Amino acid sequence: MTAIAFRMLVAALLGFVLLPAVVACTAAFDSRAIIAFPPEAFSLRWFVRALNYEDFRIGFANSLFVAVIASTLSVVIGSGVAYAIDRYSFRGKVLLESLLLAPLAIPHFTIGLGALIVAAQIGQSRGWPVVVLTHVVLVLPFVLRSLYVSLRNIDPRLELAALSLGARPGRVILTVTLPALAPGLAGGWLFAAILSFNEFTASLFVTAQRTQTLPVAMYNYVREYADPSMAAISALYILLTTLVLVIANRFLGLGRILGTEDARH
Amino acid sequence: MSVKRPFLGLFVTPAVLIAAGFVLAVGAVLQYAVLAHIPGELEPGGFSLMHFRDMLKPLYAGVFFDTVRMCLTVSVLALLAAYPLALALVRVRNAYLKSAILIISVTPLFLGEVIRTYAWIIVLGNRGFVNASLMALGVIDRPMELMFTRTGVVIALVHVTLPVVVIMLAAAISHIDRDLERAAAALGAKPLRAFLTVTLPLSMPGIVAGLTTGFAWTFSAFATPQLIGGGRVNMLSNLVYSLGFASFNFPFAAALSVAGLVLTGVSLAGFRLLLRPLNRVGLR
Amino acid sequence: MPGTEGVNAEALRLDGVGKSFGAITALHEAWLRVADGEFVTLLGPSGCGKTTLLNLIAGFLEADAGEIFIGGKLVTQLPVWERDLGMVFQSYALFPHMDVARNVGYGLRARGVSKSEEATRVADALALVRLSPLAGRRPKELSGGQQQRVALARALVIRPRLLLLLLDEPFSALDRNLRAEMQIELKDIQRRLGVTTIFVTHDQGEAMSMSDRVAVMSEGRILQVDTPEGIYRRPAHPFVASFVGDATVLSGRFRARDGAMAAVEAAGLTFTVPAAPLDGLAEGAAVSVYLRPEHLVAGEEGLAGTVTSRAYLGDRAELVVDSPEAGRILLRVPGVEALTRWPTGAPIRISFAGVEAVAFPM
Repeated sequence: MTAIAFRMLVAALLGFVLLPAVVACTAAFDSRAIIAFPPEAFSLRWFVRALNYEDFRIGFANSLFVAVIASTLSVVIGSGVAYAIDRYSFRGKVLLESLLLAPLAIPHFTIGLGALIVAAQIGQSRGWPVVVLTHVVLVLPFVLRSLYVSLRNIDPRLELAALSLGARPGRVILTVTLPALAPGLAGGWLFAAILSFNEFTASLFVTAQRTQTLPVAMYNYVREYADPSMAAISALYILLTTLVLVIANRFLGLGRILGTEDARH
Repeated sequence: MSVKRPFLGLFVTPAVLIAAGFVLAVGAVLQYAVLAHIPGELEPGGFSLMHFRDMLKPLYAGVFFDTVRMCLTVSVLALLAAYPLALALVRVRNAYLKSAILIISVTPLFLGEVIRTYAWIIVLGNRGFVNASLMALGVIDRPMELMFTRTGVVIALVHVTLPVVVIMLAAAISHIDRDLERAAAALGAKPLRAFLTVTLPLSMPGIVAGLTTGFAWTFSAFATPQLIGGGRVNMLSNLVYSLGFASFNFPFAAALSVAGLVLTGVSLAGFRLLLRPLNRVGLR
Repeated sequence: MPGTEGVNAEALRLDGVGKSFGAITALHEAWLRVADGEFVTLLGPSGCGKTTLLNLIAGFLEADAGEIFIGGKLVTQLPVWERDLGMVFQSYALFPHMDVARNVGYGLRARGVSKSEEATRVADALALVRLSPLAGRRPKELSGGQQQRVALARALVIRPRLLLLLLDEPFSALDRNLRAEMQIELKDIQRRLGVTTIFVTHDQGEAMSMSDRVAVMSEGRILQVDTPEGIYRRPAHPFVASFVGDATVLSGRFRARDGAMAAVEAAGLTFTVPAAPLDGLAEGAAVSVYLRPEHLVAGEEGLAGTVTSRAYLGDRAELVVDSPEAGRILLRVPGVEALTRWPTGAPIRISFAGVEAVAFPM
């Protein structure tokens, strides 16, 4: 009895999670210029329109650019500092770690506002560097968490064994630590890239017309138009994201990256 | 040993620069919060605590109250919805089903606030999915008001917050030794009893983490209250944005952000304090 | 001067090496000399400081006091990677992302050995441990025993001027039969290569069967360093007597000293024991007398008692006897004899002819 009730509850909750995505995908294929249910005639015109809409195209290119640069920077910076925090003790370590993780607890609109003020003060108002750096600050905590998990799963004896075999620390890091860390680095990079690609609130503060990212472009579109172009781009987005996650789950183990699986099992 | 911490400087320096940038940004907000606003001017004036006095006016104080109420409602509802999903995610044995539950419950996290909010507009609108379905079934004959209402915002925000709470809970539940539940069963506890007396108390750290994260995420939400609330449901984030970009009153926006930080800090500390007895149950 | 003593045949020397962690002293001044080609075991219960000592020798920990010499060269301040040692870890610590050959060749590549030489030496090392056909496998595709042999080959292939092979409880992850086989194989390879070996274990059977000498440790101190026979027959410390092998302990009195031997009295009998541990005792002083179970003979005469428990082990059986005069006595009898003559509750008499006892002040 309990088991059946539990299964039905889980199914209903999964339905709740899926509902908006399914509804948005359905609406994208309706030929009418207004969102209304049930859909009447099948059409792909909104996909064509969305893909040709200038703001979406520029926003997509901008988001891709920012996401790739910001996530790569985060992984490079994050792997060094995660290693140092995990393995070394140094002055100010606790402070540094708290500062790097703090963006998790601070609303994005506050960080966006602060970044905007600083950028204006140094005359860099709404340029690329401020957008990229804001994204690095925001995604670095996630990269760090993913790397900590990977670092702790490395058997410390592997590194000791390498040292005892005559390898210097630099060589040990390159030939033992880094390869063992590779899945964590890949997972962290992917995680950071997706989060950066989707970041909206802080981006709304720090982007200008020229540097507008896709989520900002979509937000502006929703505020001005009501036609299903936005449903079409949502459908594409949902499809792509799901695909990336299925692949990531297959090759990297999503549960491990997100920590929903105990590494011991 | 001659080299104890090889490459320390190389590893740490870039991160120190990023941390410095973050400190600078938060510092700028703190600094602006105590500067006067001169109407019509972008540059702030001299030192002033006027904004902290202004935000006590009922208009602004009401927004603070609404925001906290919204955060509490959403985080509790998200927790209730997330727990069964997290439990299923950890306990399901079939690998495909497990992957499916994982991907379905975390995909929304990777879709971003804008797309999720937009999708909810289609679901909740007057000619949207819910109203159209209910009218077709004859349950109602006029559309329900869901858009631009608190209920609508709560539903969408629970959906936005759910994935991260599922992740937090699943992480905690996955650390519970299944033999404990088997031991309870062997001692004669039925599944529901074993869950209530063993699994639930032991997952308390995850529940606390889930509640606080849900609270913080709701507090941070912007697009959802903005688009679904449509100006009728105002949260602090919306107020900060409109003060900044509609009135160009950046000092007041900064002061509200600071008050918001203090408010989240106090709320979360209060949360932890209230939940501490529960947490202790989990550690026993 | 350190560094110039390399000509002698001393593989390892510890001069008063000590290590503390905060207020806890993990290792008190340890002194030890290991000759070239010798197999020395550090034996003791967990927490006795043996792993700390091993980590100090390897260079994973820094000594607070004393000096360490490897092959006559002072290495106390030298980092791990310059100490020229091979190490086999309890968990094998094989690099999971490299195949067997790459694992074995790791130390050679770190030393800048040419590709062709690496190939030859790796092939030789794999032949030595009989793993040549598995050179292309990944560690996780190997059995526990095979992984153990790869770890051994990886440590041996470095072949430095003087190699110190440190084994940190290398067999504890293997099942019993495989463990015995690996012990014989390791000892055989060690003897053939003449490789100086320091071995850490809490298993006294392993220590006794493989070592030239055993260093028994307890609470951060090396209590005795001797051959397995010396450790067992002439323990210098009550801990050594009770930790290595089984013993019955009787309380008795010191009587008199006669040269290297002394007389002690317990349970109404007089035992001749080595005098050294009893130096300075007055007549009548309380002592503990340790007796090995295999020296006690069950029969029709001697100390009277009752069998209180019998553990049948096949070829032999262990009896616990309760004696009104001596207390609890442990002895071994042939298995068949135990089944037919000594059920629980049976009266028994124990004679102490030919006993090799030792005694320590109480």
